[in-house]
Amino acid sequence: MQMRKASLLVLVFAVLLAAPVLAQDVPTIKLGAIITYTGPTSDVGAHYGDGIRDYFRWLQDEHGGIVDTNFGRVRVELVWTDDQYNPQTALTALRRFVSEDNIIGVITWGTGANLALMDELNRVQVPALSASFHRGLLDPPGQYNFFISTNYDNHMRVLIDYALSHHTGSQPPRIAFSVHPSPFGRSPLDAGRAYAEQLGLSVVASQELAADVLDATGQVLELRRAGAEYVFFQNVAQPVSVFLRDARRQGLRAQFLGIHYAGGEELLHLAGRNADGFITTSAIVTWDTDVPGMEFVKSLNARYHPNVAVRPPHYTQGVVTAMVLMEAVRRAVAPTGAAVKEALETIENFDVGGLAPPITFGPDRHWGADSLYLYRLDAADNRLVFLGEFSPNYE
Amino acid sequence: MDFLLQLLVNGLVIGSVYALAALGFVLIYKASRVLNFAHGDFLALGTFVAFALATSLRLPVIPSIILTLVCFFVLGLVVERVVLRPLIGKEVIAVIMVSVGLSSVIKGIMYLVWGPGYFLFPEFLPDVPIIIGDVYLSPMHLLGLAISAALLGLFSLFFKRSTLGVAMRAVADDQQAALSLGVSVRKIFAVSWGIALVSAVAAGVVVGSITSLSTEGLSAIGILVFPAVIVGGLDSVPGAVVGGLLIGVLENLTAGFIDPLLGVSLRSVVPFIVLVLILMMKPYGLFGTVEIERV
Repeated sequence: MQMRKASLLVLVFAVLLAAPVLAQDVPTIKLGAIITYTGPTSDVGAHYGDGIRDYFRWLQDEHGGIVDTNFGRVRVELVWTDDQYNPQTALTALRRFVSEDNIIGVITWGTGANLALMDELNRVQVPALSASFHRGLLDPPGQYNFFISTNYDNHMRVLIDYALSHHTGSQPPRIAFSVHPSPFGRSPLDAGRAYAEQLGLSVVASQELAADVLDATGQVLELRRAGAEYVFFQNVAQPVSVFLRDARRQGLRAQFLGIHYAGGEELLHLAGRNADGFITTSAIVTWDTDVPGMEFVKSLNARYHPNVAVRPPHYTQGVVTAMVLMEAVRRAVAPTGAAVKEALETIENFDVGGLAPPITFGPDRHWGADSLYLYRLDAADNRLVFLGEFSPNYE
Repeated sequence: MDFLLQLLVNGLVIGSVYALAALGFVLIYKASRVLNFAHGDFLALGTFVAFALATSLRLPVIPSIILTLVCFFVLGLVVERVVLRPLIGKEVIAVIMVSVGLSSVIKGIMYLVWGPGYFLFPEFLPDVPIIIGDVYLSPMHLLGLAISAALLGLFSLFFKRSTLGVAMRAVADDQQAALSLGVSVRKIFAVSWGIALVSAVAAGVVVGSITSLSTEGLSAIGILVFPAVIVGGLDSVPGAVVGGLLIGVLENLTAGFIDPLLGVSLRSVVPFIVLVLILMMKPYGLFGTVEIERV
């Protein structure tokens, strides 16, 4: 009996002593997320942030954060912060993550913050996957910025093409742009104007609509006077909902179309019947789309946010972005940012379970997809109707 | 002409909301010389509380709003008693920093409870446009205008006719003289905070009903009323009304006439340009008290 007790004790000690050694055997690598949980655009940014963080929580809870990579088995840890949609805060966070945590990859949010981070990312050689699809982030090509969709310019061109292909009104069609007064909003404006000119469309107005707007009557009346038949938005849902409400009140009868962050479930929620018929591009499928990957996304949400029933595509976008970054970490040949960037550039037709078009990067190709989805908002059924996947070939 | 008229009408509607929000700001400054940087956050918090009463507790909308107004009057008394009163006699900058701190705390609470999303206030009026001539108006806008006008009228009467109102004006005019005449300055400070929060919440509910509720969007109104109160004169109630209406109209005229020419939005900038111009001519605002210091 004494013997058995002693051997049990020895066994316990052996395990206790070995545990730290075993843990030390697996080195830790860190990834960063600089996301927007408070401040402007946080209504959407919070979903994106949740998607990223839930993926890494799941990785930790299910696999202890352990993944096999080309440079061996590692434990992956996510460090994250809220940039409050402030480029300066984002830059400070990046510098801290690089110097204190030695991150080898980062996921980021807005256009303004990403523009502020560009030079620093290249200097410290840490690749970033951004939620912004601003073309300028990939100029010059081959630097440290990546995004999973095609750029905003192409989103705009797809919308213009769609409007034109269904046009039955005046010749030439009369179109207008309404954008957020920021680098994000103005991003696809030049390309949109140039494309409209190329197609012989008449651009009757180009407006800016701030995120905190209470009343858009001035803008709506101008478009009514100008006889706009199509209005293209590059904005977030709240100001677009104000515009749509005033458009209905003032009798502006035009087709409204928006890029990725303008439409979706939030616009339907905020604008209700005023959003009926609104057409939006999306880099990601909607919540009720029946694709293999959606089950995993829904299980993440149910596990960590049991009270949240439905998520806009930005939650899924966060999960997909995290999946792509982890794929690059697995492919990397060394635990460095430069190696992760090179690994990202080897990703070809990476299947994300149908949640987005397959992702392909290359040394000079840092946008993940050439195609995007179009949806029409249906207020009566409170859902987004899938119109198709569009693969423009403009470049 | 119809275009101009429509812009003017919409400007007046939005301006009346600014005026209502500005009123609370002015009341506190007038009584206690405190610049309340948490004004927009109280406005947002009150709107969210009314929203929570109407949606989570399923109370009818109007009682929810009235209950919130009562609660916020009491909250105003409590904030004055607990946070502001210990600071009487301290440097003005200390009081300002406390209001900045309050702003952060309230915003944090709202983010914790409601998160960063947008919420819709339950609809309690049909949203069918009313057309007068060629001018479109929505019932909600008209109600907003009516509530703002009624409350501003009520406050005006209160200051002119009621003993408490007169006492508040006396304190604002000269604290020492008011004290020597037996006016309780502490009581007046507390009531000022109570009324200020009531007017802020009323403005917030109107804005929330016209657009939507979000922590950032509603808190930002606290900043939007700055040009209104400064143009009107920081310590003038009629000034807050005129300043609010002026800013609302200017925003709309800018959006209608200047923005289309430039293709960029100047509607938020023009009020501040006007502010600078007015202050260059009248440093104490249109109706502010001119202070002359003799050394």
